[in-house]
Amino acid sequence: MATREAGKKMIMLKSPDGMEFEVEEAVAMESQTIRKMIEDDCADTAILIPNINSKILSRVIEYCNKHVPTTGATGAAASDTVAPAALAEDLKIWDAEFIKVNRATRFDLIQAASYLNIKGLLDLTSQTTIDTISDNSLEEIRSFLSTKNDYLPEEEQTIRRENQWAFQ
Amino acid sequence: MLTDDILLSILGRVDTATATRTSVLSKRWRDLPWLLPVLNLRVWDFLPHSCPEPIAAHHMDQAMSRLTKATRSLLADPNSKSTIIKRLSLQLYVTGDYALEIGSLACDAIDCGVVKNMCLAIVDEKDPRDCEHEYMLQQALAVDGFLTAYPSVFQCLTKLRLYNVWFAEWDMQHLLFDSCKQLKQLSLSHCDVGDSSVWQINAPDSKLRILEVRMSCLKRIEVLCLPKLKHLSWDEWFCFEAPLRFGSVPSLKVQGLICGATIDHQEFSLSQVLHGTRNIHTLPLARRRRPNQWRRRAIWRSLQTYATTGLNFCWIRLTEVPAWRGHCGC
Repeated sequence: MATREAGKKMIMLKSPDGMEFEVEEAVAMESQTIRKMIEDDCADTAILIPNINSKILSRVIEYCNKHVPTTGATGAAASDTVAPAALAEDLKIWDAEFIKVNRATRFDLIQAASYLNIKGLLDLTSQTTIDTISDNSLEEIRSFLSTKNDYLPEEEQTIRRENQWAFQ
Repeated sequence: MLTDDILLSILGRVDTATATRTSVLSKRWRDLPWLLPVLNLRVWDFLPHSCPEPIAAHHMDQAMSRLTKATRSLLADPNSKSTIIKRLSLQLYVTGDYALEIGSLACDAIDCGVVKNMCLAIVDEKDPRDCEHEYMLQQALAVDGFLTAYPSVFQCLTKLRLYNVWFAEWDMQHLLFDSCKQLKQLSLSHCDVGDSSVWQINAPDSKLRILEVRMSCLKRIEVLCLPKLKHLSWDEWFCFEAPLRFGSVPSLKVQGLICGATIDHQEFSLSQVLHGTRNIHTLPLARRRRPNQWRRRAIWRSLQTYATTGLNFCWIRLTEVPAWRGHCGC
């Protein structure tokens, strides 16, 4: 239910495993997907977030809670007292801690950030995968992504030959 | 397990060769690089690693050869392509036959409706200080030849970046504004219409929002009419007087000026370069090496005069910046 608490409008988010999270509207609106639902007046009752379990959803809310003051309307008070550079540095350190999770959790967070359309969280969670793809051998990338090479050797050779420009 | 959409968003953030290499990871990855909705084909990504500067002609040639193969592979047979490329960013050297083949491939993809929007950077490695007029004229001919050979490119060109071009031989207005009707951002690095000349822009139908000029020997830019222009910056001008004059620029909000320091500039009243603008809210001003050149008091005085003539809100930043170093990114 959309309720009010201490003057702030609250929104109820529900995960498929039945957990409910009451969050400030401004925090929930860090997600462009939820923002659109609220703006289209589809958020009168609790919003069910499909495919994102309560463990991941609570982490996403934690991220949005931390990030809302610098970008949202409620940020004016915080940025009046703390220099923007110090605030950004603090967020960077917080982000680095936040992302210290195992690979499965990180992939779940990427999926959640993508579905909920939270650009900052998607950038943060995807960065390790981007770095791995950019800087490592194919074998290392396969191992990172738990992907099995299902090509026949000659099939792989054909692709390499056809796109030699990329393998030089 | 990540979905294809997410893998595509990740592949969209690595360079094109790296993205294409992932096609051998497994069968699931086979076609992903060919489904990217944003394609960045940048010649700088194909230069050899640890390429010494200045970049030698044969290295440029090798990079263009690889870029051509990449373009052929990713844009060939556009009729059979199932995805729309929302944005094609192309960065190339315009010399040699490779550019012609790349232009032709891009043109075919545009004609088939596969490419909807294009950004083009025609780069050049020559240091502006070493560019003779003849060299810049040659560069202009090559750029003109490339652009006019592929009229389809004009139709969807939204961003254009040029280097070391001397716009004397043909009508700059016609090429940049009449032909490129969709152009939203124009960046000109060391481009002129002749030393100490005045470049007049009168383009009432233009969609241009951002105009960036770097290292130009123009005496002045007179923006007679650019209705959508929001952001204008000029990094290093060399003439003595007020570098800008405005006619109708109702959308202009940010104006940036960085002054060269090699010669003594006359003081000019800030109201001279703001006259004709109504909505400027940010005005970064900087000069290089000799910080006293901008007289803060004089600027504030002229700004106060200007404020009474309709400036809504103006944020001025006075800074000293380090000397200009080489080329900026694509």
